[in-house]
Amino acid sequence: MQNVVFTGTIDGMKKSLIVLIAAGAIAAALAAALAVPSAAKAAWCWPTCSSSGYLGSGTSTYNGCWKYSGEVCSGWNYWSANGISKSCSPICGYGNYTQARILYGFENGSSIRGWYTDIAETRTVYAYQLGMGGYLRAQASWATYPDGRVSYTSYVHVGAV
Amino acid sequence: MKRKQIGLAALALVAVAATGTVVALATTAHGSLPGGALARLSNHGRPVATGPGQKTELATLEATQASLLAEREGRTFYRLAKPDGGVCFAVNLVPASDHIGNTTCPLTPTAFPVPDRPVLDFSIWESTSHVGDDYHLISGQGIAADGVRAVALLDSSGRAIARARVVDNVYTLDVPRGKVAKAIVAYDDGGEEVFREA
Repeated sequence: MQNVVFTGTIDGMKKSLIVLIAAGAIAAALAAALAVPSAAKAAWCWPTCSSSGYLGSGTSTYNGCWKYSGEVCSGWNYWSANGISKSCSPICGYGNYTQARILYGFENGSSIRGWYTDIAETRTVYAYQLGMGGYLRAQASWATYPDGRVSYTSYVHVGAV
Repeated sequence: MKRKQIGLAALALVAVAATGTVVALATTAHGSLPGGALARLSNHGRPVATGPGQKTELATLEATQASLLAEREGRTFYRLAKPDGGVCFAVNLVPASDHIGNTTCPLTPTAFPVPDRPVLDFSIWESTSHVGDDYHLISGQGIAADGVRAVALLDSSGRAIARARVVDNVYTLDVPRGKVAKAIVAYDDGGEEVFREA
């Protein structure tokens, strides 16, 4: 089992002590507040629990995600929360605009749901807040802009519990 | 000598005019300095006591205080404060539950709102297609700067299928039954589009 935490910065995520403390808090939180099944105490991180990776149109975890390409996803589990830490990259414009758009959240056998973002930030989304539950995959997907802007590759850390 | 004085006076006039032009250009339609109402969030919320579940969710963000921005249409909006001065925002979509809900913490506290990004949209999107980016909106909500007056959901032809005013810096929009929302758009006082997610 790996632990995961959603702190405010990439550097913060690399502080192992904080990771351990916060992971414990998350596990306790989800077990107590959300009454999640014991299977959900496992965690998934991408690319690892202590690093960030590049999520672009050609990225894949090759494990049967909703999209063949441009998506990273966990295995199937009773996931409760999915967090993402998006760096101010490849550009860092006014308001932390990155011009690197992603959609992240969860997916099941019939649909994929989530939020869009293209700013540098830390976000957490809960499956129940998306109207989803049961056996799910946590996911983060590269997304295009409908107005024709080029959507660059994001530098992100993703983690689910 | 007189010619030189006239030249200096003319130069001064040009300088004054240029300064005035710069100030005029930098002043927004709202009559304020750069950024203006699109860079301001007047509703700071009211600090609220949090339940055990909310406390735990706050702890995962390293936030210590939740302030209630608004409760509307089954959604609860929060502003969250961190000891290091960081600010997060949250929307709980489950009425009367011990949750803070979905959260976002901008990298820097001053990143929202800004004129280029006066809306923090918490809308939820869905796709049932494995091909392309064929997403539709299933729930519209968010937090908007003072200068954002209204939001609307648009269908695939760009026609508004739902509208709502931004009140206390918060908006909610439900997709009308039988309609498909493909975009959410925000407008300022003058009806100018200032934000779009699609």
